[in-house]
Amino acid sequence: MKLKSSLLKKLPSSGAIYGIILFVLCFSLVIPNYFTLHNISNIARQSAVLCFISMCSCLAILTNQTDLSCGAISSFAACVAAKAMNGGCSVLVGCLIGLLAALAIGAINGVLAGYTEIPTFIITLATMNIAESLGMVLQGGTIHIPYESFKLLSEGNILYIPIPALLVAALYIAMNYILKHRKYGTYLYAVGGKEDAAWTSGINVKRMKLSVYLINAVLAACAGFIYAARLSAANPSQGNGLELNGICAAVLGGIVLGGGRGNVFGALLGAIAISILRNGMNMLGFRILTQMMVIGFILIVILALDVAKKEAK
Amino acid sequence: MKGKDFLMKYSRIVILVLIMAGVSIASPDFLKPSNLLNVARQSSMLLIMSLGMTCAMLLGRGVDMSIGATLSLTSCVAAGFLRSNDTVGSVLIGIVIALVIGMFIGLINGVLISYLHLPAILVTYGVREIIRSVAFFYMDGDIISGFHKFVMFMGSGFAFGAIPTQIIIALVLTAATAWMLKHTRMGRELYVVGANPSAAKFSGLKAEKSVILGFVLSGALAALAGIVYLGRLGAAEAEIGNQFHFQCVSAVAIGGISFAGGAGSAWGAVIGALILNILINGMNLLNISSYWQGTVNGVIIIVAVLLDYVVRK
Amino acid sequence: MMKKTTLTMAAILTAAAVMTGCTSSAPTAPASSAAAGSDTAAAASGESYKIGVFTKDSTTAFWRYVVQGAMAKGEELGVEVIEYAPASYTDSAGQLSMVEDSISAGVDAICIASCDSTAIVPALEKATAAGIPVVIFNTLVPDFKDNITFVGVDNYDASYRVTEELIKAHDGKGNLVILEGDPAGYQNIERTRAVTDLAEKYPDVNIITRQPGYANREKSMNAMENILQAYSDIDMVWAINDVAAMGCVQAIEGAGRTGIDVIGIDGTPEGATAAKDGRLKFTIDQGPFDQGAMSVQAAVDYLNGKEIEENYATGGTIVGTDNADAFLQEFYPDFNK
Repeated sequence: MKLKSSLLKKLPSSGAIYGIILFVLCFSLVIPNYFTLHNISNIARQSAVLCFISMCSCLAILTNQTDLSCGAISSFAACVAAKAMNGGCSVLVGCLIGLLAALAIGAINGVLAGYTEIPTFIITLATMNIAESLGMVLQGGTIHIPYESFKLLSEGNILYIPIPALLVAALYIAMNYILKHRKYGTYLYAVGGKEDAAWTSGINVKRMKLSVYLINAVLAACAGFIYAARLSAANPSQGNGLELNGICAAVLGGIVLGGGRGNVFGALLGAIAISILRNGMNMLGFRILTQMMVIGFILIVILALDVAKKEAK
Repeated sequence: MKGKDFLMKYSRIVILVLIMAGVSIASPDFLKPSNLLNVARQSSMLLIMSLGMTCAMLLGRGVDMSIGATLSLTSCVAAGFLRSNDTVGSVLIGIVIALVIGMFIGLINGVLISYLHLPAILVTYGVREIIRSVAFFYMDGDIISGFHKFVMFMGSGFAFGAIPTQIIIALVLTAATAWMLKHTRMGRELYVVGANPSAAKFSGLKAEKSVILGFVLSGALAALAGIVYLGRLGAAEAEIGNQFHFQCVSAVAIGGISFAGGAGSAWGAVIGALILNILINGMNLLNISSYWQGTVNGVIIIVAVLLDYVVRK
Repeated sequence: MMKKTTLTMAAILTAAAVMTGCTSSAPTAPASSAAAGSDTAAAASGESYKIGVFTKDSTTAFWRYVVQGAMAKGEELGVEVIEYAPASYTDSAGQLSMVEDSISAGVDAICIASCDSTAIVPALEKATAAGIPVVIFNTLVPDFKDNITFVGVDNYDASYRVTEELIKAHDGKGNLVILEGDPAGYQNIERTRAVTDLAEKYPDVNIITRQPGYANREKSMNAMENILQAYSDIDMVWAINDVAAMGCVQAIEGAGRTGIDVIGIDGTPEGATAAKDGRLKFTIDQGPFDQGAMSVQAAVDYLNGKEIEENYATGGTIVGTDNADAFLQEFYPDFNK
């Protein structure tokens, strides 16, 4: 009994969970072969990148900031890693170098965001351009990854569970723990919720903001590696549009724009919901144009209903 | 003190002059009249779109991500009326239709943002996805080409023998927008709603009307840009205009708009568009790979807003 | 709590309704494909096969023609053709997901023009492992050996032929500009290789610059405008495809420059019309309808146990001013009306 109620408390108060249940129900009725291990592991692999990026958006939104650069940082990190690997580095060293590259951009974001009053929208817009451009300067296009083993990051399994799914799970469990049970988490919510109050209670708001962008850079780099592992190639434009998808996923999952409220698992559910929707529409043979319309429509409907909910209170 | 005030007011023009000086020192070809005209010509489209973006951003609700999609849909639908063997009357009808569609999209954006209090960036993103897919469905891959000579004149013609018509149209629209923003009540209200929403409410201003107006103007200008663009490209296809939203935000940010709303001008958009294109032109003249353009863009955005921030302190 | 749940349920239901309401209708305009491969009357089999046709993007004219050809052949043979295309040719991950999802959905055969010839290999291997035959069309996937056939043009060959026409029209000399596509794309590499090889063969042809236009009209136009600014002496422009070529043409006309010949590849009706009007020097037909139709035919033949060839060539006609009209009449009589 006790376990059940504490579990229920952990359920995020977002509509995404119902969306997922409904999509899965609808799709499994209409599509044969939907509920197979094969398809589920496909979805897990296809959604991993968005899950990571969604966390980036989540952290940014929680602190009342914007991060438009996470998509470009993910491609940039992947390109740097790929280039390093082609230059003779091992997979691990290549990824490390890619990570450092991402952190460099993240540092620019963080310093400007924390220590000046420049709107984070414009900071991350600028660094988004820079990251994508630097990725192109590296090789002007797709860089192929010379190691077969790198593919495993996306295509491999451990005990039949896709590796990306394990990574996503680890990420979200860890972040949830930090945000709910450690000081850092409390400070994070405080900075987003009421920045002045956070100031007066002695929280170093500047460092907190900086930290968010550094963490985002790391997460974006991981997303980039998983993406590149899927294709065995890195492309500087691969992250285009990911950042907006991430924001959509986070918002759909119940992260409140304006900061300070929302459970990270909401971001996960939002990302999964979008991925399930995409996968189902693909299996049904919907043209991509139809898919675009559906997702645009759903976004607006969910937003409106979210607002209606708030006003109803 | 005086120097600081001067800097604050004219910082953008100072940057523009410095950049022009720098580029012309590095490459004497820059100051050739044909080159300067080329730069002005390439800036025209961006300028018209940025005027619309300015109107929307003055409100302080966020950016309009849908302008590129609006450009695409309006130009594709209007294209059918602008063929080379159509009458001038038909051309005028086509332009009116484009405007109506553009304003309608702006209306939808404005209503969702003002009455439903939805965040602009997500609403316009959702609308963008929907409008893009409508445009793609409408054209279904077809291209419409062969336009009326009046349209071609607007987009790629030369007035008075040597001045590209695009430039004149862009400047006329800029002057009109600047006048509207400064000398009409509805224009000034855009500023008030952005700068001080509570004061606006207090003085009986209906913020919703202004918000809708701002986005309607954005849509209308995108539609006009679409017509000129048809003349420039010589063809209508659904794919066009997709990168404009980020370019426009960059241009208006460089031009000095405040992201919180309430400050910014049509002439700022001119400077922003010019700076962006002069930098690109400079890089081309110096044979710097086009891959670096994004980095230069990003850096200049940061420099411009940083300058603002430092000067304001 | 109750209200929130019901509201959210309502939202999802609306979305679901929209979803199921939007049926995946694809254009079934009759394709006037000349002599579409061999074959006689319909495959008599009572089964309706599901053939997945994967194109590089869902919006460009060329790929719409491919799909039209495929759909028409599907109707003729009594099989179901499902179209899969990402929003843009840069979305190779999207195409990969589509391949995976189509395997889950149980397609019987895959016909694919890959966005990225290396990235797609794992997905195609999965298809083969699942017993699904793979037809490659339009762009080769050199690292995948198990395709049952290739349908399309040899990109190197097509580019070579049309470029040589241009060079010969200039007596084997002049300044040449390359307006390429995505520099890392396999198709681009093959097509541009032909140009560089020809520049070696004709020593008086100078490649003065090589810029990427990404096979996009606007980007190619911008790139060309900048090139025109930087170079006062240009004789020939090679563009990766017709859309890029038209961007170049527009840039040249907009700048008031004359004496520059532009060529493209693909043989789209827009390119052919421009050739007819003398604005474009040459283009070369890729035969998009045939690519779609013959891919489907080959897939169905294979499924029915018939012998198929290793290679089916499509297109090949060089379209210039003199034959443009006839070309348009034959393949695209309704274009731009």
